Amino acid sequence: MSVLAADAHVAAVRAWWRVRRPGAPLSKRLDTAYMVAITTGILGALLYGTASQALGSVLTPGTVREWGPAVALVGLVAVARWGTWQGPVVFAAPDVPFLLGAPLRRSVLAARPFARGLAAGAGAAAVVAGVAIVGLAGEGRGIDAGRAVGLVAGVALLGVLGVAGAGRVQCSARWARAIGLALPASLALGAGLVAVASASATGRRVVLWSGPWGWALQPVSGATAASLLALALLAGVTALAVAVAARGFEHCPTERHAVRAEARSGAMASAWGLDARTARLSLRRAAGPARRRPARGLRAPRHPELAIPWRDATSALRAPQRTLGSAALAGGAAAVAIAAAHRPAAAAVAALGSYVAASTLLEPLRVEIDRPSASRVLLRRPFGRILLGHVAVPIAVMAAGAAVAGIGLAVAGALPARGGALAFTAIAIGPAIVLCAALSSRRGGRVPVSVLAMGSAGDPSGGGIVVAWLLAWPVGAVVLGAVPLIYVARGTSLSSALIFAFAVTLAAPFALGTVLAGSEA
Amino acid sequence: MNDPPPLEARAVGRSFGALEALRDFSLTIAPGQCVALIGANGSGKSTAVRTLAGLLEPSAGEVRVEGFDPHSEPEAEHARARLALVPDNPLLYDDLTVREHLELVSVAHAVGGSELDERIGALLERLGLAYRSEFRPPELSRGMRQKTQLACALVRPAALLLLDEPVVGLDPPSQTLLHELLLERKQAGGAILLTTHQLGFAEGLADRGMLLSEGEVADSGSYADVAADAAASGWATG
Repeated sequence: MSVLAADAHVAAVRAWWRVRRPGAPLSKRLDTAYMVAITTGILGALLYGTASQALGSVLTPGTVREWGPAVALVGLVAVARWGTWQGPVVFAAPDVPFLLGAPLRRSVLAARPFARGLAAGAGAAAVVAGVAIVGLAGEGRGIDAGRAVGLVAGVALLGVLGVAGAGRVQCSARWARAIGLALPASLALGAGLVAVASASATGRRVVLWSGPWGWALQPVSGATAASLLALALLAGVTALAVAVAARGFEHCPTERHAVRAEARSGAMASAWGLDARTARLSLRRAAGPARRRPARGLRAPRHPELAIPWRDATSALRAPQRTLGSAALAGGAAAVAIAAAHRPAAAAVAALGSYVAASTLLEPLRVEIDRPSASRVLLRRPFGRILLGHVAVPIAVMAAGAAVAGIGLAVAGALPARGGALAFTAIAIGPAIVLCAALSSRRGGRVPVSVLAMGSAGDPSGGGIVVAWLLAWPVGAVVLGAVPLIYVARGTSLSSALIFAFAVTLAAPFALGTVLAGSEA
Repeated sequence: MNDPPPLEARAVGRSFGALEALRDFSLTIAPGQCVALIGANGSGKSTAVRTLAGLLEPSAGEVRVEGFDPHSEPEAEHARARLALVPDNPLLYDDLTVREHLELVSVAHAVGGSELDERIGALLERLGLAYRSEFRPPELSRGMRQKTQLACALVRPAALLLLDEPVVGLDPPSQTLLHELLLERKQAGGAILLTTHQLGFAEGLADRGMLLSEGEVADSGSYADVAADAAASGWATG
């Protein structure tokens, strides 16, 4: 069948569909767009001053040049990794037998959703660039219109590149495996980029030319010719990536579309029930079964107290990607904590990063909560004690990641004032953060009916109770992690700051551990 | 030169991680022939059907539907035009009526024509779906949804019909009707591969039988022989 005939065939199906399922009329769509624009305008005008003040102290031209390329790199890889579970072209479950099971050209079927995905990627990235511009222009600095436009264009192109990468990953098992390894590698490379950019002006120039993640931010440097050249390079690479991804859809196996359709349908059903855990498991199934790896060098312990840590260590060895990725994230967060804890926002970001790493490492605990009956049958200890046993390995991995980050900064000569004390604090806050993540995981993925009932009936904030329920432990982790770091970095007396920090890092785990140990299945 | 057979599978295998769900599966079905795959739960029947239909990628071996590879785009378009699959679990659009599902299949397979409405009407009448033709799937029973999926497979010409557990959810009169419809399709030269737990359903329909056990063909031959061996080893013949 020629390309034109294939186009006509798909067009006939779409025409039939439009008659049977007409979309919202233009007037309705324009009305929605108007409402969004007017709401954004009003809220933007109201919040601009506050946002500009808050972001202006964090997103300075200097921090963007030093940290921006690393953040852009990790973001780019994270977006591309989205293709492992979903990607820009996901069909509905019945589309699999009815459309993918018909003699319709795949590339033509995928073209529209792919184009919509690329546009959404560009739009979302442009919004991120807009937020960055608010910060860059804050504290009275202002920003040249040309640089602002260049930055928006660069970051939007990076968004398109990420979505194109996700499209390629979604259609190829080989690419999916590669991107799985790329995320931890990007974290390590990102740390390297920060180190190089922080070292000297030459380093910053090198980083801005090191790849698409730097090219996108080149307009921040202010040099017009360099910015144009970087944007042209980025546009070329992005166009190539889009072409490669589009070609990938032409040959994309039905199976890869089918598992994503099934995963999305399961995830949507779970999401409607506010069951995040089941939704995540549904999406994860689309990535296919994990490879089995033999756990070498781990003999079963004799002491029963070590049974759970042994089991978690075995699980960590069988999922090295998860373990190394979390360790890298914990190390990166610790590096941020040590290098920039004098900035409250940086300390909070570092604590949040540690929380995400801890949460990822706690997968065996979540499996325990998914099937509490298994623990009742296999283990004689109280359920809470079993859960408490699951925090040991994550704490050890987080401590190792933080220690490596501290040593790395020391070797690179990048330790700030009070760097040693901050490194020890970065390690010491680990247990409290892991326990916050464990207590969050203990609740399971589903918002309790009682909270939902309060959120819908007696909550004047319109769902504020539900949001508070969801954010309680992450916020707790950020507070317990960031406050000691900030105090050690900024406290007038180092010794009193250290005493305070260690009091917090000892008392909090004790209290949180007691709560976790009291859990019932 | 001979025309390629409706289905030819050579040494097909399929793994899910460490699990080998299907191993060294070979099968050729000639026009007007029906093959029944029987086996216990988890024996690899559905994996075989889904792999032959192009829904699952084979880990080994190759499949041809009238000479076209259903796993290699854009060649697979030709294979999809020639095969129709009835999955074990009906997958239908919640917002389309029974009749609209059949219309969609006709448009997607470009088998429209002036007599399409009559053909759809006659098929719905035959399957006992006429009085529910304007109903949507959430308003239908499991058996009705299964019959709708079946109608979608029968509304267009297909050289090869693949049916995965087609009688699940169907009442005895509907099973008899399905048996008749498949027999007609077979007599018209269509090739059929079906999986079933119910040995009795394939009697008089299947020419050959294959017994799958843990992903491997444990027995194959005339359907009567395979069914007799299976019945002797504890399979119900109902």
